[in-house]
Amino acid sequence: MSIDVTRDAEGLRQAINEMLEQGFAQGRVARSLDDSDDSGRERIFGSLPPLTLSPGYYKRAEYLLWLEKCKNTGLASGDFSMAEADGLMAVAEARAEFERNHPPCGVCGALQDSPFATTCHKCGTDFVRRSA
Amino acid sequence: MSTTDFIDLAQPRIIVIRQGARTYSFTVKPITEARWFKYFDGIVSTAERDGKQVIQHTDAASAGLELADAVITEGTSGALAHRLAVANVLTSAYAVTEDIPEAYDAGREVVRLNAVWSAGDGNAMRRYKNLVHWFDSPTAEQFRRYRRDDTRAQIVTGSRKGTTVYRGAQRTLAALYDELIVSVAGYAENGVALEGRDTIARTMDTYHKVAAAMQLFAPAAVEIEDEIDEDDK
Repeated sequence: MSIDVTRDAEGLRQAINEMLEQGFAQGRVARSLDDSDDSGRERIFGSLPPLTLSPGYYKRAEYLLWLEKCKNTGLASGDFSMAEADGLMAVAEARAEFERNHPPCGVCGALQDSPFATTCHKCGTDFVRRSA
Repeated sequence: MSTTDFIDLAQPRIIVIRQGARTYSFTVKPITEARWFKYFDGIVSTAERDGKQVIQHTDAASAGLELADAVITEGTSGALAHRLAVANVLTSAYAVTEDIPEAYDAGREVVRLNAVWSAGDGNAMRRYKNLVHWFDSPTAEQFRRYRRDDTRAQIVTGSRKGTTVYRGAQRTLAALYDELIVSVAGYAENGVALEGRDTIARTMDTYHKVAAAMQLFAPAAVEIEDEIDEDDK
C-alpha cells in the first residue's frame, strides 16, 4: 500500500505542525548557539523537536507554506486543485494548533513556550490566570 | 561559429567507447519526447529518514539501460558496461554557472549547458561547452506549477514514516521550456541553426530541455568562505 502525500491532509498537517514547532524552538535557542562550542551546539540541535515523518511530507509542506504566502499576498490565483485546497486547509489547521500551544504575550507579543506559562520568557510579565 | 560547433539534433549520434586497445562505435537515433518521458518515469528517486539524517537515493541505471537498448540502431555489443556508457553519454547534459556574460542581458534568463553529444574527428567524444538557452522570466504561476509538481510523492512501505518516492517534474519542466524559451545557441537542425520558439520547442532534445529548465528554478550558487578558528591563525 502506498500513500499519496499530496492527498494525505492529516499527514501534511502533522508535518507542518512539526516544522512550525522546530522553527519556534530554533528561534528560542538561537542565542545559546552563538555562545556554545561544537559539542554544545550538537546538544542543542539534539534537543530540538524532531521531524518524524517521511521526507516527502516536508518537501510538500514547504510548498504549501509558500503557496499560503502567495495567496495571502495576492500572488496566487484562487484556482487551486483539490489537493492544493486540502493542503492549504492543513496549513490553516496546523497554524491554529501552533497558535493555541504558543499564545503571544499580551505586552510584548513574544510567543510563549506553552499555554500554561505563568511569566513571559521575554519581558517577564506575569500572566494572570482567570479562574473558571 | 562553424557548423562543427553545433549539435545537429536531426542527425544520428555516434557514440564511441574506448576500452583498452579496442574501440566500440554505436549509432543512436534521435530520441523522441515520448521515449525521454519513459526514461524519466523509470528513474527511482527516494528519500528516507534515519534518525535525524535524511538519506536520498536516485537510481537511473535501469532506466538508462532500457533507453540505450531502445535507441541504439547499430553497434550493439551486448556488454553491460557499453550500454551503461551509452546511457551516460545520452544523459550527460548539465548546467554550468561560470562564464555567462549574457546573464543579465535584456532582462532574459540564460542557462548554459555542457554536454557530450557525438563523436567528432578522430572518433573522439567531444564535450560541447557553449550550449546556451535564453528564456523569458518565469511567472509566479509557472514557478508554482513547477513546485507543485516537483513536490508530488508517494510514501511506500505502508506508513507515514516510510520511504518517499518522488514522482519527478520532468514533464512540467519540458512544458515550461516550450513556453519560456526565446532563443538558443549551439544547436542546429540539418545544419541550420535553430531559431524561433516554435522551431526550438519542436526540435530541442527533451533531456536538454529538462536540464535547462530545471536551472531556471535552481538557487544561484553562493560562494562561502569558512570562518577561521582563532587557534589556526
